[in-house]
Amino acid sequence: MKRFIFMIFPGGLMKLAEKLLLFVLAGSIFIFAGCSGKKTAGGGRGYDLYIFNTKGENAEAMKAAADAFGKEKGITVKVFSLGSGTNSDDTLRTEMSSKDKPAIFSIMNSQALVEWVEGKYAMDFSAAKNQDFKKLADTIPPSLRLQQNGVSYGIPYNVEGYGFIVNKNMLADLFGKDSVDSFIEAFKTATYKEFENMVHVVEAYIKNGTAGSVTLSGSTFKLAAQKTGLAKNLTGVFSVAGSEKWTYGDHLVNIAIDTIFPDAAAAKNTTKQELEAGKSSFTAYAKTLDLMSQNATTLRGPDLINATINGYDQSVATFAAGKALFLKQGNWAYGNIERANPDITKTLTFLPVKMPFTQSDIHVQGLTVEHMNDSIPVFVPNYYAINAKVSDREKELAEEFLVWLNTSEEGQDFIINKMSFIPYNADPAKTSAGYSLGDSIISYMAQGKTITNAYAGAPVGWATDNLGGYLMEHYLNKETWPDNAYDDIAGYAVSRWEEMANIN
Amino acid sequence: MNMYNKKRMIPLALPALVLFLGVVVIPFAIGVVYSFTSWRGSYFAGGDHFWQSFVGIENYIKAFHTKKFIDSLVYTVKFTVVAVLVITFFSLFVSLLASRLKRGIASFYRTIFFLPNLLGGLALGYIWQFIFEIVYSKILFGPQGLISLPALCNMTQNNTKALFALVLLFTWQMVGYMMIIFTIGLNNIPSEMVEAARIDGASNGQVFLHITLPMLMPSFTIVLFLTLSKCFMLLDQNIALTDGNFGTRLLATQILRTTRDSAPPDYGLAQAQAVIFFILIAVVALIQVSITTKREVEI
Repeated sequence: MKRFIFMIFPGGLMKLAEKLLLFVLAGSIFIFAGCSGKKTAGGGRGYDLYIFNTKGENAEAMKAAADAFGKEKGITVKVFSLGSGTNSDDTLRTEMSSKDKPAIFSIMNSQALVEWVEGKYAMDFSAAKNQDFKKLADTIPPSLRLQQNGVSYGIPYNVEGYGFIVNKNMLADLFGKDSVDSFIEAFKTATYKEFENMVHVVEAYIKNGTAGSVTLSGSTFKLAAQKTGLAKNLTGVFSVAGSEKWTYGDHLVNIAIDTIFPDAAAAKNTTKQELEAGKSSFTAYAKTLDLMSQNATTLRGPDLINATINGYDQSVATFAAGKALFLKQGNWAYGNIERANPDITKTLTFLPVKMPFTQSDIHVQGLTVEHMNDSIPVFVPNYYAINAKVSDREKELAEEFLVWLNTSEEGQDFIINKMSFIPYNADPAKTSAGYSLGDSIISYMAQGKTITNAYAGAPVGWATDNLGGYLMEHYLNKETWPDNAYDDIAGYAVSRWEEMANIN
Repeated sequence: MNMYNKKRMIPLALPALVLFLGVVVIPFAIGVVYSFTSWRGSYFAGGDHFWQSFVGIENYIKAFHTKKFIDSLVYTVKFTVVAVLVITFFSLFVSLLASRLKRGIASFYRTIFFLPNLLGGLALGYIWQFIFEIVYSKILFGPQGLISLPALCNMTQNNTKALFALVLLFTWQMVGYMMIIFTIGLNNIPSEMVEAARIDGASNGQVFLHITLPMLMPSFTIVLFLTLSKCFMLLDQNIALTDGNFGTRLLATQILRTTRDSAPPDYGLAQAQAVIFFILIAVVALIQVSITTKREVEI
């Protein structure tokens, strides 16, 4: 026995205590590593329903909604949200590979859907057991559905929209208080030519103080003789976030793509002829980008694409400080604007982005140039999907939660007031978003003046990394563009799409 | 002290060994296996388990045919060559300078040179992005700056300039660390040898070339090895400084971004690229270590 002890514990029993301490320390590492704070409530693993939420802006409100639902049903709901703006794909895939998969997760668009359908994670809604849920899925407007091969896989989170954000008080200081409402209405129906003239006149006014007048939809609006109030801070017509490729690579080019394809599915299945026929729309897009970047608060050049000068936050701050008249962004920027300058938040509204389309550029049945001119893109940025690989009980709870969230009064209250989302299924005539930009979008929806987000069907990475990167590296960093710039941009957009989608 | 540790080798080394196995070796082995499959991150295309979706070396062939991968490989090699030369030269220079100073002042300078090494990669990248975009391009070397030097303006917007920008950043970070290694090496050169050389009439240059450099070979081994591997694996600073725009994507960033280049995401391809990455660094490092070890001089 003593020899045995001496073998393992050289130095004898005197050193035994020290040895024991060593082993205890080593062992405790494993125990603490193993303990991950698993709660004992619920079905053995601590929860009955697991929601993986990738839209970080509503993290707290989502947790509150989940808790309210859990209390009603008497179950525990676990919500996991990632920070807003963080890329959540890898974390989601890790969770999906683990034992405890989320029952509800998020899918952004039909391109992202491919992965989850192939891996058999996205549940086919026609296989749902809950009748209310089936009804909910069937009543999603066809243009807002997340589909592959005609099968529905997602419930929209909300709808969002973007356009030129403008402060009505700034318009009042430029054109007179009484003209603001008529200006806004005239702007919406104005042609691109009138819009372009307006930009030049206002830019000259800002840079040199030359007074002038602007004609929109036939009505004339005179600029104030002297710069007063907010107008004194203006340094440019547009606030352009030159370093954020997604603002001009994704959202701006989407408007051009909407004239070629009626929805993302058509864009995904495009043929070479359809794309080539749409080249003129990309030329129109290039012209608008030229106009916007030449009349921005920063001179077009290396500074325009620097993240420290024209990043997302800086562009919003520039607009909020009243240095620019228009900011092309969406209602998601409301929080940023509020933080930068809470005084202007009540008088913000959306104006449509205009591009020089002619009827021959438009290849979508029933779409007119007028509609393109006075509409803003309204789309679903993210969808709730149900995991087909969780237990039946979890699927049932997931379906009930989604029905509760989207149809019950309490759920709608959470969506509208706590998450500050615009519900996709609310009646625009009766709903109020509670904040200026949201209400602006709802008014466009009520009038039917919306266009979709067909660019979501473009090959993955085409919009931001390829087109956005090309523009950033070759055009936005140069003050003057060569004569063939528009054709070159349109040519690149089309040929790159063909290359990436393998349609030659 | 050595006897104490030797006898208790197994329990003392056990926790670290287990962690190393669990966090490094096992995932590495799994990764190599997955690189031969069509892994999609959360499932395997073609079956439920990885053995049902083997594709052989298809991922490796695809990796070498991907233009972005080859471009980032070339760029990384260019960057590494420049950075290794610059860092080794400057850290040796600085450690020689510091060795001439009195003890207290020398420690003070060494501390200052070492401080940049404590900053994390992302923080460094963003700080230097600000410096290159605002301080260099506007305040110091811009058209309205102190001295107008177009070569030093907008360094993050040009492929070649960004390479030097990255070298500058990385040198600033690494010189302190490498300087310490050289300082230890310098301190290990017996002063009798130098004295004897001077008595024999050797000049400063000859002392440096024939005594200091050969005796520093072990330090060179370490410094070159560390710098080479760190340059090849550079990720945070690359993303923070240029985010890979203007063709400045280094290899690690390319592997990271591969999964975003297609839908469904091709993790098998990314894994194959990672294995190629590992083999590349391992081969280069091993060659370098064997060359410099052969030149080490035993006292």
